[in-house]
Amino acid sequence: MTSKDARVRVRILALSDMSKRMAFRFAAWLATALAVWGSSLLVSVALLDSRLRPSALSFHIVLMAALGSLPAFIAFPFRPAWALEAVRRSDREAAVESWLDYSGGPAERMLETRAAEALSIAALNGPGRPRPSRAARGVVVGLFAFAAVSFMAAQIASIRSGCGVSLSYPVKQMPDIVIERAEIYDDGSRDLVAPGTTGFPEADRGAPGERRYAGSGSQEEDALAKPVFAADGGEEEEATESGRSNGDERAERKMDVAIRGTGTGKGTASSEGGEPADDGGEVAGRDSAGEARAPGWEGSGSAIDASPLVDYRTRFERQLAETSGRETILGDAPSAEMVAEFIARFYVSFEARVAIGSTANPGIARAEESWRRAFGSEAAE
Amino acid sequence: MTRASTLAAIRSVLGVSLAAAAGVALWYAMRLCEGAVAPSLSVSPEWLSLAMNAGIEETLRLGLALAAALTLRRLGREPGAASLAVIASCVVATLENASYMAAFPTLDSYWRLGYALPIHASAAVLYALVTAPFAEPGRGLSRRGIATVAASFLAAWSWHAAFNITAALAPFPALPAIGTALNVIAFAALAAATAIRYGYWSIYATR
Repeated sequence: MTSKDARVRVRILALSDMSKRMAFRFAAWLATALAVWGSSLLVSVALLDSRLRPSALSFHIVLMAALGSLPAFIAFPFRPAWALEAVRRSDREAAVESWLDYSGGPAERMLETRAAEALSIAALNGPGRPRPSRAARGVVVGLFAFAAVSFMAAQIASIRSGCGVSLSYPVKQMPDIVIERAEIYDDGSRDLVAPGTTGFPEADRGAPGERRYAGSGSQEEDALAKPVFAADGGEEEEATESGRSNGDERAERKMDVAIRGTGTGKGTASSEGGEPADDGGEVAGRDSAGEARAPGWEGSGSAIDASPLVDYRTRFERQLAETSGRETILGDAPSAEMVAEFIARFYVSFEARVAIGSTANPGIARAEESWRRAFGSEAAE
Repeated sequence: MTRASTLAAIRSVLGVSLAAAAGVALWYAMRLCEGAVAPSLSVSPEWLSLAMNAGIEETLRLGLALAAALTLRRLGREPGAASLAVIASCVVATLENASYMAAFPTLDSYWRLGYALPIHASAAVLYALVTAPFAEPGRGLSRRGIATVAASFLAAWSWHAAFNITAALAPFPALPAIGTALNVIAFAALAAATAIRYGYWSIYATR
């Protein structure tokens, strides 16, 4: 081995030592980044429904800071003693160290020969591995363990909270639906749950459909009763004779008069207030102005027809009239297309729109555009 | 843990904290200077504006490196401690990334970790290398040292401006990946050079 070969061997030794030290620094950075990632996930999931939950922006900034610390780990100040430590690990008899420190003289030839021998042996055995301090190794191992534990805990908490497996900022896949049942039922409504225990007299138990649920209101008010389409005239007597219940009779009578009222402008359904129907000018389900009042069937004009679609249209027509200030904007017989057009026109005011003005600084606008072109998702496609 | 190692650990923590604080100050100074010249650059071509901003950032970074070298010289610390300036540049890059993430809240911002961050870190490593002679006690300002610093400044400025201009004016789909690869290679080479210079120089200097 020549002097030149010895120099090359020493430099290879130094580079090998350096790469191992850098690998340890890389492992330290990796452990730190994983620990930050795991703990950030855990904090974000644990505070999912809390006011203290970190925002997605802060989550990503913390993560980017941890990932971006790699240059700081790699280029952290190096100790000048590294070279000497590397040489001593490979050369226990100090032959290489003596040769390196000898600045020229009669013993150079001898020192060089001994150093070459030591370097050849080191090349065969492999250079000794630099061992970081026990504290440094403990910190790195501890960070890896912390990262693993926090990551697993974060995933368990994430799955339990409905976010699924979260590798990035946790987002709930299914929003919480809170159903708040209104306290609209009184105690009597429990009769609905257990109809057999309400203590209805046997005598009141008539034909199916006759019983009044929860005992509220009168049968005359039953605007939601199943309509019975029957012919005019002596049907009432016929129904009685055929043994129908009283409720059916009343429904038939109500519908009978309603059908007649459609043609004559008079109705017979009972009003919302529960006044009994009469055959006079103010009939049931319609006030003196001709406005239907019964729930689900209110409206005017053709809207009094027994159709929930028309009722919906009537409600909309009223809202539109309140909004536009014009009473008969849809006319008496609006077509479906016309209603659809007005619906679109009416509800456009509810659309949430954010007016973003142009950026004041043209430089910033140019930078944003450049960024989108260079690094936006569409740029990589 | 011995007293010496405890003191060394405290010194390291103190150095890292100071470097991080210097990074925040550097970022703020960059913003102030770029904001100050922005009105005059608003009518200039875009490439010139980008190049000038890169020049401002590199000038301030070099100023920090020189200040660090002179401080180390006064304190009698080893010149290798100048590499702490990399931490300052990482802080600058982190704050810059945060502002970009706020402006472009997509995962595309993570490309900056490969495209932009190594530019800052590489420039800091380069300045730590070339300003080392100023940190060594007994060594004055030589003409060669000044020329080396000037050349490294021009190199860092050109590199920084080239990547900014390319991303702004001539982007192409593979740019983020290619830019990341080039920057990582440049940083790795500079980091290895710093390690050799400050960790293994006794071997290289003697033989």
